[in-house]
Amino acid sequence: MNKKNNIDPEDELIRQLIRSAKEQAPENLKYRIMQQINTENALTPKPAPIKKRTENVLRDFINIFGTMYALLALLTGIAYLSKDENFLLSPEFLGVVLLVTVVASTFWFFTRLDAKIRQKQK
Amino acid sequence: MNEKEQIQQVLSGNTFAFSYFVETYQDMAMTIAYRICGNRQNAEDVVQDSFVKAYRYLHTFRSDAKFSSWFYRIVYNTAVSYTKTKMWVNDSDIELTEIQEENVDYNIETQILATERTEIVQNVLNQMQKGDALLLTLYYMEDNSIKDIVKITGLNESNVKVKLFRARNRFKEMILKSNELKLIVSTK
Repeated sequence: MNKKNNIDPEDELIRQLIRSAKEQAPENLKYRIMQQINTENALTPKPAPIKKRTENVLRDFINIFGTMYALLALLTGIAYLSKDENFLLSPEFLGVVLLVTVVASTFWFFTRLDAKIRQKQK
Repeated sequence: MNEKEQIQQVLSGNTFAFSYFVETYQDMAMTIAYRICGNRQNAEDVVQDSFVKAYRYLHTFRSDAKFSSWFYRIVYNTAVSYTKTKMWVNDSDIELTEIQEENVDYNIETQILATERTEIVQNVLNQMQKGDALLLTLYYMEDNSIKDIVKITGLNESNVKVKLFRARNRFKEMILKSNELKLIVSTK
């Protein structure tokens, strides 16, 4: 039955009869369908464009190291006012300065690393 | 422009390109929906709904598949869920071999007028079981292969063959019984 190359006259007759009974879609159906599609398109909220994360090396640098220098200035001010001038050259104070510097540098390092990884993923 | 290019056009945002599919498939979609729903008003609603679904889910269409089979499957499912009818009677106990042994010993030739013919065939198809009429429509109207019919209806291949064979015989019997039909029937 599924070998359509064998033209069976009876099969051919049935084909003709069945084809004569094809339904015709009304003329306005196409218009109705396209109108509904256009309406749904217009009403469907478009996905919000993904905001590009602006990579600004200078801005990150200023933010991190600006904060670091501000903190160091504050610490120096407090140390100068509460202790004496010699304390600023003492290993304790230099240790604190070194610690703040290392923390800020490490933070800067991870910020840049994260930016690189994101860029690669894109 | 072929169908794949038309699909790409639609997917890239050109809604107007979809009108090609509406124009090409609306008549066959109407025929399938009418066979299942039994009236034109419901069939029109089903066809409209099916085209909108096809548009919405066009991105899921696999380009190696046949668009017509994919779309007719949507029409079939939409119409069946719309009408909530049971399309197929369970005849799983009937083997294909058993059916093939049946001897159909008549032949039909036609000498009927086209206008009469359409009406008579339409009546016969309306009187048949919906599933049988649908199978004949799918198989003969657009020369869908058995595999395509399997994809559209969700039946298995042997089931389609059996049902199609029986539907074909029923159709012939009913056409022959029709008094209005001026047929020359020659018995083998």
